[in-house]
Amino acid sequence: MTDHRDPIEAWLSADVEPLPPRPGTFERVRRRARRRKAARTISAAAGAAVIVAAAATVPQVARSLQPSPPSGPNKLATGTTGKSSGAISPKPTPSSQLDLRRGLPLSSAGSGPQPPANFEPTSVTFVGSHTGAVLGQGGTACAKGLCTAVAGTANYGRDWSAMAAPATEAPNGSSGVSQIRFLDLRDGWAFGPALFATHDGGATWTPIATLPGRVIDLAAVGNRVLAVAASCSGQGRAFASGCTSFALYSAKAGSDQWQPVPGAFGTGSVRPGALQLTPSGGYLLADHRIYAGPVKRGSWHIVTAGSGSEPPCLRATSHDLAVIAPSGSGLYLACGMRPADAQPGGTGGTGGVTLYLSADAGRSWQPRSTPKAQGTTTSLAVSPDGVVVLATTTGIWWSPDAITWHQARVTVAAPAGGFIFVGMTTSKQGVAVPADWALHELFITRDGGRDWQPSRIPR
Amino acid sequence: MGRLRTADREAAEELFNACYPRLAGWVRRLVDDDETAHEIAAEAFTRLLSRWSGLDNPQSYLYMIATNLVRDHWRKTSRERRAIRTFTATVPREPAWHPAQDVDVRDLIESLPPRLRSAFLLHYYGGFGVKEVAMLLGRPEGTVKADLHHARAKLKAAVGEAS
Repeated sequence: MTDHRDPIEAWLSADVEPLPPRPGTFERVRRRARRRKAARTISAAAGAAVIVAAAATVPQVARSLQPSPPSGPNKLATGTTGKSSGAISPKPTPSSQLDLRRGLPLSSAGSGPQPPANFEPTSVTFVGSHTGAVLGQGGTACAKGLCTAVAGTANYGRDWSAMAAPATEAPNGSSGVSQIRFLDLRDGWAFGPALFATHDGGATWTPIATLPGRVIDLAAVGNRVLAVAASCSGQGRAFASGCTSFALYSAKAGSDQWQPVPGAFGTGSVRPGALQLTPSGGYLLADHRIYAGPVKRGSWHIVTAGSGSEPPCLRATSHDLAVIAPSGSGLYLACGMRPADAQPGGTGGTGGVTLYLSADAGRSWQPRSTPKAQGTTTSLAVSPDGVVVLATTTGIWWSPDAITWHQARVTVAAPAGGFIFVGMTTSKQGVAVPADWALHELFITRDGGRDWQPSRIPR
Repeated sequence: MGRLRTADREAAEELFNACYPRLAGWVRRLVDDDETAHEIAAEAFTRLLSRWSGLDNPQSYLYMIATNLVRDHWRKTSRERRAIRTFTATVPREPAWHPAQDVDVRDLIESLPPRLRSAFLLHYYGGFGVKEVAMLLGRPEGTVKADLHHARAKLKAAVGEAS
């Protein structure tokens, strides 16, 4: 057995060898710092002016200073991302000449201005145990259809700061966005139903018009991003209802070159949360079937047997609704017993959920437990150490083994309408999005799903 | 607007000249190459200078930023490192093995509770004395000593189990 203790002792006690700066480093640092400080100052100053004019509180200035909205999210020309913030002059500049669509990247989360006071979060994403972004609606430009706002955190939701956001509105049929995903500190996407991409950490967002229909779900892993596009008829915020056909598309994370995934298309419904990726492969729950395939290249295929022995919610004639979540031990499936009216992000069902586990990528299923969770099942997540967390329209439940279930404690109380999303970032940290966006808050757990506390945006 | 005043600029440049080499050297112990070390050190100074006027303890802020950036770098590269190590598992380690260049130890350090991790990184990686760490973190020296002891014990135990 190798003894690593001596090298540790020696290494820990070694002196730090200085690494001198390269020529010009201080000047570059100073210029960058000046640009960031100027951007913050301009945002704050313009925000104050809007407060006077609109008698509003803490507006999101980036939104209010943008030009009038396009008629559709895809009408914005690619590349109209504005000048670099380095172009902002130190001299006072008329607000009308500023283009604040460019903002601080995710890597600078926490150092920007406050998010708008009326921020209503609808989706959250984390790229690590500290850094993440939330997308929602807020600001003072809602009348112009530019409500979408993004905020970032560098301490897992303890504080939030405003970031640049896609120039679009709340979900409205085939336009607007409601969801956000970041693969890392550089590549991210806003979607549901329109699609925008950023490759500079959220400093700028570009509309992507190459996918047909509405983008219902999107996930990224490794250096790939996959998105589900569907033909749907739902209006307003119910953009994911009335879907009659779908197809999976894939792109290299930084490319915006989307290609259809062979084998992953069909007719029928598909919902937000239907696409789940792992580093080794992905799953798509659509039209009561589970499709599976590789993340990088290759065809996807239907893995559910269709023999009548599958869980009820995967039968072709079923009206039950389902959510899936991959884990180290396989793929979990939660079947809701009865349908309810379709809502964005919801799976329907009025209680009586059954949890199944497949150890062979969805080919066969074993019932694991019947959580005594109340309300409609909306979202399922599994932490890295195997804790299963279930969100419903009344609260959150967790299980250390997928068999015994406990109701999570929600401070002060579970919000009316429960939760539309739950996700576990680490074995301890997780986040849930309440159904009532007007609460202006997310819920965070730091103890593996047992306790959930509100994270108000802004603080 | 946004320009550092002359006095501030001189103070900032003085701090930069005094702290950058040690900060970058500290980062280099934690990452793989000089380039990344320079990037992280420069970014830490950028964030520091963009908030220059409101900071009580710039040096503490600087090292806290750098710690977070290093942690982000570790997380970003951990997958690649695992993959590389899988393919090179049969290759003997080089004699000058450094624990922080091993992803398991990085994961372990990252998994330390934040209070232990900050003190550990500053003392053992940054070369700050206990008194300096206590000042940087705003904690009593005795608490820092205890935190260092616990962090060190966790690291040694985990490495011993793994070997």
